[in-house]
Amino acid sequence: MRVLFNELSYWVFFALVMTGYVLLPHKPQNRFLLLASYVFYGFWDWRFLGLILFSTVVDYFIGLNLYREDNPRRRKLLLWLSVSANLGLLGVFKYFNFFIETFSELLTQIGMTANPTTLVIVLPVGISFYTFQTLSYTIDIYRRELKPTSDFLDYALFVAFFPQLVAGPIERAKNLLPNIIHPRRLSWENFERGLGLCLIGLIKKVAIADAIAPSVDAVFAAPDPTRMDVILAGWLFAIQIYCDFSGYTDIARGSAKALGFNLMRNFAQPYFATNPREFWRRWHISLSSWLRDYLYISLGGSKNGRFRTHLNLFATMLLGGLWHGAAWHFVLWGAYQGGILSAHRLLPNWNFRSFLGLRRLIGIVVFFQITCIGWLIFRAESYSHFLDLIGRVFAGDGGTNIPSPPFPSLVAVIVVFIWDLFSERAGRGHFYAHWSLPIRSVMYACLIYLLAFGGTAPSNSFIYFQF
Amino acid sequence: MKRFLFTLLLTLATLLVIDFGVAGLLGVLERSGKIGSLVRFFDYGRSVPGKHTEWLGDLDQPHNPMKAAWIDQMLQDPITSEPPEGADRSLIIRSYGMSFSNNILLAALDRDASLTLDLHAGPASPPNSSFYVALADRENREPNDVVVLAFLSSSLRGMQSLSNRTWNFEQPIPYTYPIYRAVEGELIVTHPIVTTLDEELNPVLAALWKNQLSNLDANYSGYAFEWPTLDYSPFVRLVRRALAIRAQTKAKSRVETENNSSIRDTLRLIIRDFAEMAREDGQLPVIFLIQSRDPSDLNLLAMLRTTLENYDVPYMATEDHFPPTDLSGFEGDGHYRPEVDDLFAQKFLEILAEHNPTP
Repeated sequence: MRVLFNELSYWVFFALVMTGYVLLPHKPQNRFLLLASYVFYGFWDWRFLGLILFSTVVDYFIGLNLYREDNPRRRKLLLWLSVSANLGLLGVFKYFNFFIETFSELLTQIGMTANPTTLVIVLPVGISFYTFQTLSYTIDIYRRELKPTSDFLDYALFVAFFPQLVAGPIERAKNLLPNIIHPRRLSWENFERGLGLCLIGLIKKVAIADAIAPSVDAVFAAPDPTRMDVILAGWLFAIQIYCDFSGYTDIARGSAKALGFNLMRNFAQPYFATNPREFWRRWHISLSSWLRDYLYISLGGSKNGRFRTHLNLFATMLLGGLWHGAAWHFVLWGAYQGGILSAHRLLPNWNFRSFLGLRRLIGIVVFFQITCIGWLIFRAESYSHFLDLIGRVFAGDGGTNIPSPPFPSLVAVIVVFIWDLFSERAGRGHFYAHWSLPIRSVMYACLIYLLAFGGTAPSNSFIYFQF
Repeated sequence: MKRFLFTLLLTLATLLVIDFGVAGLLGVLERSGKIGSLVRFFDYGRSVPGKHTEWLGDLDQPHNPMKAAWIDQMLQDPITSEPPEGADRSLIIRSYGMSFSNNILLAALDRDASLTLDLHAGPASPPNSSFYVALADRENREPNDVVVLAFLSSSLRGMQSLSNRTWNFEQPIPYTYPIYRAVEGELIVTHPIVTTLDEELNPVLAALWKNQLSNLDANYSGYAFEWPTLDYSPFVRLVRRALAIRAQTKAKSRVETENNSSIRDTLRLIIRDFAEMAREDGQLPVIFLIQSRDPSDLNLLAMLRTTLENYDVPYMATEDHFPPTDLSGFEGDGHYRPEVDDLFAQKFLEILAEHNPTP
């Protein structure tokens, strides 16, 4: 049994946790949340609890020793121990078979026979998220930007906090640990705001992402899609993945908010971006900022000349692509993102920010198409599948056979678009904070009705759970 | 806290107002005879008993779903084609399936007018239903007939059900059929208490029947059946539809995935018994494996090809001739397009030519 945000089981679980939580003082609250988080993760597969515990114990002790240690060589050794342990976990559970198969194919290409040994490995859900989270903890301590916590159980809660455990946001200790260590303010205002976030998140996931998934899946499974099928599927997948992932994040942030935690914002209306740099400041912010702070900057960032900057950018995005999954089309997607980021740096005029109105609108529409090409790479089954799809965009047959998404999903897309417009104008997601209470109530009622209107699609797992 | 409670109450009150407004609007649209897709959309969320009550109000309509596919009607009122004029002998094709198999055989008739068709089809009939009708129709068949039994991938979920009403929430057509289970190499059958429309409407049987459905039908969900009075609220209809579809999707996964081997074993025994029966009666058995476009369906061909080859039963698997992932082959409602049905019909006629049954 899995506890999914878009199923009743999660809300029963959350109501039980909330009830117990409000009755406890601060420290017992933390212990209770840790227990709830392990139960939540155990529902997925209790065997993987061992991996989280391993990662937690290793980084907790390395963090404490790193902070106490002054010898630079020993500090570096400790850091590498943490990096090796976390990336080792990822390497075994996520990339082992991928690397073995790739190596074997390479040998075959040069005429040598290979008899690869692959293992039946189940990818532990959320492993990419919590390993990056614990890595940021030790790196921040190494950089003397963070003081470690001496309370092991508080640290364990930082690693396993259930709202963001399986698909982020990838929190930084600088943000989440103070939320854990210091008593939190439980308020009806936070509770209302949290429920509001959960509501819009559920609409994105249930009424949009799940509802349009069959149309998208049908085109990507079709042996002979038409040009319009591929174009429509690209647009629809862009909407699906945004609503799926940002919907998950909204529910994660909303659940945490109701408990008195402030999780970082992970999406800021990414499809209003007019260039790749702006896009990555708006899309999966917790990952893109992680890659910037711990990979791009570690590689030298933009300090070593133009060529090296482009190389660092490209390498960072390539590895960012690989983070998404052990497959070559994810690497290609990373390369594509690195390529357009480099191109954007080379073309200084590729910036529509200074122009309001029509020119910016054109910039948004044009860049959305560039993003959709990236999503075709991301969603394709393989590299050759992507080439086939992109070939059809330019030379495919006319007409379309794509099954129509249900009508309520189209209504929900319009509502989410308006929601994002308001958020963009206000510069924050909680744009309705100053609205009068009756108007907020009417908005909530309309959103609840919309959720019911669009809630008839069969539920799917969240796309980012597979990463 | 006061502010929160006030917000909550105001939200609920607004929900009620919206719901009354929607109910009023739908009522006006219905009374004016403008039953558009929006009205139908809300109607899909009525409880199963609520839908049946609505259909019963229209029982005189010739295509009323309440009257469809009950066993007595299936036996007495098949779709038949007239024997070709002037021909003294015609090969009779008797089929037990659903609209998909009917379409293929009607396309075959277009290609070969010397055939005579005798089609017994129930809406989305699952294999247990089609097999049951084939068994019941045995004495009406004659030696040298060709007997077609059709399996539709999207109906496999009905194999542990007694009626479509439990697994097809949006179209809960009430006709009934038995559940077959493979036990130690034999088919064990559980018959439904209700087998005719009269019995369906008999209040004495109602409680027993509901009890049987809730206890024995693997797809039964309270979300679909309970509290029909709440159908007055369009909001509750929407919520019911969402919950019922989710419950049925989970049941589908349970029936098809967790009990995959029991479905496979049952289908194998159905094929064995069907082929033995036809051959004993001097008839040619043919199996249709019809894969729908739903990628979540079990793959019929992968599941049954070996069985069909072992028992040497001729078969026409749609997947062999047209990929179910090819969107261009389907109508909007999920049926195959006529040109694709024609392709399947051609393959069926090739099977006939190969086995050369004599009229």
